[in-house]
Amino acid sequence: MSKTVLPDHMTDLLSPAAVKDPYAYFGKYRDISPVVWNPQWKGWIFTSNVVVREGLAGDTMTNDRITRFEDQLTSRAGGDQNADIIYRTMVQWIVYATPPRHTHLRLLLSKPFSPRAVKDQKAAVEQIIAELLDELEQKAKNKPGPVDLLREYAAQVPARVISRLMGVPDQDAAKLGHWSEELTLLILGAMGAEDRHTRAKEAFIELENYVRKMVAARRKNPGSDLVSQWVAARDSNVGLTEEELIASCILVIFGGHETTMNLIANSLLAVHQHPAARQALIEGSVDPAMAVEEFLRFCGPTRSILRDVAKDHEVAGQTLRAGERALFVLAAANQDPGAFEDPGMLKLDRSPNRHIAFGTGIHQCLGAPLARLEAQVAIPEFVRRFPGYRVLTEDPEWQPLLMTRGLKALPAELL
Amino acid sequence: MPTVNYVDPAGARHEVEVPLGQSLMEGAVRNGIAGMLGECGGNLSCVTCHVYIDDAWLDRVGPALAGSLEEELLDNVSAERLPSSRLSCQVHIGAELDGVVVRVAPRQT
Repeated sequence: MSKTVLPDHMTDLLSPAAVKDPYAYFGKYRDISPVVWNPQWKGWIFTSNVVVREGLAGDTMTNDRITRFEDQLTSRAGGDQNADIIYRTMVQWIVYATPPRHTHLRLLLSKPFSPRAVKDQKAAVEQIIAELLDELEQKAKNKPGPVDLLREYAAQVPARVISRLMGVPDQDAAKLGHWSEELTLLILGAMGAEDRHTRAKEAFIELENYVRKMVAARRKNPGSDLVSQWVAARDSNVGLTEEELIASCILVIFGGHETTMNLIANSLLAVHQHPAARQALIEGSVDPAMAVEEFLRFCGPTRSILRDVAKDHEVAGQTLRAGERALFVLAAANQDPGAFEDPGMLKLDRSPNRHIAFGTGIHQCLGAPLARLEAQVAIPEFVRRFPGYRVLTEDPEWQPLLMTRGLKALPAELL
Repeated sequence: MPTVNYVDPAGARHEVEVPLGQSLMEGAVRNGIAGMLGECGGNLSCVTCHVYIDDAWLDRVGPALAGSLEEELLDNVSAERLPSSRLSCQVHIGAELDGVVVRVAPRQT
């Protein structure tokens, strides 16, 4: 049996250094051991590209963490009733499902997000983004001054895309975005937000009511949207329960917002900090699809993901026991010098670029094709519309979230 | 070790050795064949390892089995689905496939 344990001064996963530069922070973990025990967090931390990839793609880990997640929530003072209502939905989420139920759900739910289906959304996404850029330009003209690109642009792209995909009117898009943000506090592990349970619960109740009404409305008047497709699947007895249907709609709203928003905002910050990248995007001398793969690698929105050890096994000289928890640090895997040349450099034409920003294995991001499409349009189009945009801080603040790499704000001048 | 001939989307042909039992997807990924993604690592989740089996080899490789998950998922691929389409994570190399020719689909996402 063998266990490499981090020294005490290196165990705070949300220390200022870890929040500011997770690449450097977790690079130090990797230098000690690609799989290492964090005694403060009480779990294994995976940081090299190889162990992250193999751990997520193989069968040594499980994401059936929901039962324990519930235990954690209910054991906290004041968290019990709050946990109950959210748990009822989360337990239905495909992200926590195991085969064969997972396989069945994934096949049903992935259709509208498949590469094939998303290709048909390209024109719609381009139109949404052109509209947003027109609005931004108008705003900048009417009221010059700093604009928060995170809220005013990066958040708006997924909010409107998801809304249109679900057949939700544009005026409700902001509501969905707000609920999603409140849920993030709970689900993605915010520290410091003491009222997070209450806030997440309130948002959740509103969101669930909204989704139930939406499902009822589509059942009455079906359209070609995603919700109508799922309602049809549900009502044709292919093995989707009403609760799975509701939960999946909530998951799409939640999953579609934060990550895409952060990918776009992180990328716009990176472009600001890399004049050569800006120039390449303005000139159109780089393939947008290639550029987005590099943004995903260099500053992707998912800092890390959680798993439970499914069975006793050895990896990288460490002995892992079933039931222990593990944190897979995608940010570290994506900047592992063992996997990428000059990992800390932004090279928009990087090839090959086998990053792992969407995870891998059975839970690999179901929305990846849509996220890619949104970013491939939103980032280059923004840079072309505002080629001289300037971010107004050289030291932006990052959200202190365990699983997310996201900014608190991205104040900029639109030029 | 059997040889696999991968034709990448630009038309370049790459002759590589792939160990018995490995999938066509793994063989391509390990050898850095352009156009191959295989994002979910062979778990039938991502449909980003789409290839076309060369006509001369189609009989030996065989199509995706009717009613299989692979067969259903082939409807989700980005590039055109052809009768020779396979998800390459589901094709494992046996001695009978020594010399097989596969074209990597022009787009995966």
